[in-house]
Amino acid sequence: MSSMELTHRIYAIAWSNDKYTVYMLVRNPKGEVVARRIVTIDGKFLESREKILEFVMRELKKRKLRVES
Amino acid sequence: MARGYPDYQRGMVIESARLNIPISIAESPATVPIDISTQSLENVNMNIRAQELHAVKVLAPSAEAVYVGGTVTAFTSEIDLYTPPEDVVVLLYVTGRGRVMHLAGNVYHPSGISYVRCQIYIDDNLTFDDALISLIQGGAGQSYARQHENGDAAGWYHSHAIGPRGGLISHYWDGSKTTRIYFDYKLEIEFTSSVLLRFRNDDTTNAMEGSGYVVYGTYP
Repeated sequence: MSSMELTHRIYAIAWSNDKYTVYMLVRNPKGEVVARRIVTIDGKFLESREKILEFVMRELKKRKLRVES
Repeated sequence: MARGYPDYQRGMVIESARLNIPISIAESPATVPIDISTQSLENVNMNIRAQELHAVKVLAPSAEAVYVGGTVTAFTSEIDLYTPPEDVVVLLYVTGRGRVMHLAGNVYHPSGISYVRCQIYIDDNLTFDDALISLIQGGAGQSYARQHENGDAAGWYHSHAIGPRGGLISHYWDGSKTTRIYFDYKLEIEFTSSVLLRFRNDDTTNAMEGSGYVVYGTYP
């Protein structure tokens, strides 16, 4: 199975010390959870949940990850 | 079973080499005792979507409750606590579900440590808003490392004993106020949508500085 077939779903985002930690569940095309993935992204604290999510989604897209919204 | 009776009790014993039993419970309130006595158990998948759940207990052969995994625990890197007067520093902000287990670090404030305010928002509600020293001292049920009165010698003072919850480890008394503290405090915060942990410098003239560490976990 190629990694392109896997989708990621964010279940938590943490911010601390100018760094976002994004916690994701990785699903295969059948929808089964096959892994958990943790990605860290450098960035300033953006105060609101919406802005943070927007920033994180943009950064994950740059990393060529398929993320369910 | 009488019709219309509010309580439903059902039971079954299955002796089979291979099992696959999907169970769906929509009655409320419900208690679900499951007794598994096979020699080898491979997988138990439970999907609980009840709005309210009192307890999930998994008992090992020793009859002791065992912890159900699924938590990712991360140790945050060192957080720089430098904060100008009347400003805030965010130690941790998490959206999602999880818990915060530990808060540790050291803080220096030339005007006195009582100017350092700790604010904890759980699920967007301000649940703690008081001096940091009140949390690690009063909250931990720990007596002050040592009480001081004006005139006591300046220097470092250490706690004689620290309980399992942790608390204030040591502090520097400059003769009239405490200016630096070392602390290691066990928090038990559970949150369902978000948690925000921050310090505020309540002083109008001096900046505060130091380092902080927060241990937290998230639930998928």
